[in-house]
Amino acid sequence: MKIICKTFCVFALIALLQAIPAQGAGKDGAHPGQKSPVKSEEMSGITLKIAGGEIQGDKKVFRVKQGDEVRLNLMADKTTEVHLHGYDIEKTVSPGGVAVMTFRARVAGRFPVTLHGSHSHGRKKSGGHSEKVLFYLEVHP
Amino acid sequence: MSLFIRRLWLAAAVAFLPTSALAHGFGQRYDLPVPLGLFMLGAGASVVLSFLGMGFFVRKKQESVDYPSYNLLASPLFGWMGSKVFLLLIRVLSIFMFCVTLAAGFWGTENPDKNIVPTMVWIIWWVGLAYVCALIGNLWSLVNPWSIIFSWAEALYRKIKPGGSFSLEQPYPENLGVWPAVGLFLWFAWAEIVWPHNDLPRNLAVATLRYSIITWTGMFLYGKEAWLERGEAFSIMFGVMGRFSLTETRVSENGKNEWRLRPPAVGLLNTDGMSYSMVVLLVLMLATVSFDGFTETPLWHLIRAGIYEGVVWVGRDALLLADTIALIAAPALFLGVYYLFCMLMRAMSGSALSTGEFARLFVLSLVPIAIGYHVAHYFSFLFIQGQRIIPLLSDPFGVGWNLWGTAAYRVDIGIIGAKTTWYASIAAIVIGHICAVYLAHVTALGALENRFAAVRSQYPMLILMVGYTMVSLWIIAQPITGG
Repeated sequence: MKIICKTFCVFALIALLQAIPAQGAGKDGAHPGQKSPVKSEEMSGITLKIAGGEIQGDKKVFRVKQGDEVRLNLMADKTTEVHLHGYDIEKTVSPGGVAVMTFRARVAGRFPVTLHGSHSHGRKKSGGHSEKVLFYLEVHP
Repeated sequence: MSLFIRRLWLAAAVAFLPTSALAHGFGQRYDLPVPLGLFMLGAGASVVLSFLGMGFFVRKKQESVDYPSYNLLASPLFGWMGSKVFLLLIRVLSIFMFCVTLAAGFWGTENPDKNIVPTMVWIIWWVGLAYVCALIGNLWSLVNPWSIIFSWAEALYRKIKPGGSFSLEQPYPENLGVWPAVGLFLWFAWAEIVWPHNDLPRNLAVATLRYSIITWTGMFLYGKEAWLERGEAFSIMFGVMGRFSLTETRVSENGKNEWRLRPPAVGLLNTDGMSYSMVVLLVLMLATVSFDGFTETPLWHLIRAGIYEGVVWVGRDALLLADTIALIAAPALFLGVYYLFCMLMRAMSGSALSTGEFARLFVLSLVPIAIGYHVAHYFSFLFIQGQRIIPLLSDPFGVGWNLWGTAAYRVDIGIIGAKTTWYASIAAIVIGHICAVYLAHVTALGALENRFAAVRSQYPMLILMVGYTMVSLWIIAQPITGG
């Protein structure tokens, strides 16, 4: 009986220890100290600046709630095609202008937003894998 | 800058390189990481149910391996499925799709989204068929195009030369075991996980042809059945998955084909013909399933950056080499850990059986955990990306046809909710775990001399299985990273 209790405690401890990586997982690992609560980024919109083929700033994951009206304001240093996967919305951003993606986040999920080439002709490339991921948009249920 | 931070930057850089995302089959998953609460529920359930299973096990007497089954073909609802006409129809359909897929690969558009080949290979066949084989029954044994075409060639040959045999029927060298299948499966795993251009239709068509030639050569030399059992990697793999499923096929005493409904997982209790090479093949399959999911985690990108740093001197193919090294290291690691736990089982039980014999006895009991993870990992993928086949069937070559009127169909990504996916995933993994624990218990009772030895042998196995299940749960709790 004692052995069973001890073993149970060991197993329970192992189960609890597994909780730690799962907690860190929600924050993408890059900045362990940063807290990212699932706050809705609606109405005012999310403003993103693309420079040198990357978005500026440390934040690479943006979270919204399912059902929100999402507004992404995109700016870039050169002509860029930006593609939101899943919702399948593409916008061309010209330097000096703002391209706006608005949509209702009706489907929950984690959607990559990728960069096409600065001049993209047709869709000769493969379905998204060799495209560069700018950031992720997470729609939470 | 500390080494750790440097690694993080390198990892971030590697993760966001244009061609750096591992190809991972074809099509994207939009799954959200499973939240902490559900993760804990899954972990807790696995542990508690293992304990209950253990307690039950301690009290239960010796179990026989007999299980109830029911012949579906005897029922009026399913009886027609056993008719020769129906089976021939299925086979013809399979060969037709095989030919269409090959043709589309060589003569259709190069755009992977508009050509039927990548969807057919990576979604319908690799994921869809695996689901059917693991849950319903080994459909592959019926639709395997290489097997069908070879038997048609044999039948034709017999018409020309009655009594003759198309195949050379050379005796298969027994000490070769299933090593050919190991090699072929490793090649496939590389193509699925590492190969950067595995979504291009032409590449897939060429690879399929290569595999066809190898398979038919093997069948020609050693006979169709011998090759299917030893060298045809997918027959072995789908066959193992089929052992978990709810049905099995049998030939009754009077020679009739039967398709029997039976309890899940019990097919995995049969360890006849389990060789060391088969243990390696099975561990390779289990490791590939987990590694596949692991390559989408942030931790993988860290490790990948580390390996890349070590081989960057190679030049252009350094990333490819890094990925290949990891692909080989994963099953090697699995094998090492598994053998370690077999040693522990042997030590705890005090049995006269060798570690190798423990390894052979218990490897099948791990399969339900792999199936549980596989089902969880691809659940939403199958429902979302699987819809691609609808427009593709109307325009398989991507040239503007509309054969069935569905060419304009657009995939509905909302067909399955995020929460449904979460619950289904956790359920699949926990159920897989329970089945695995049950199988190991029954195997121990059957193989070991007395009940006390059997019980003691299961403590290490329980730890191994809980650990393996935790890995599965951890992977689905990670944010999908790298495209």
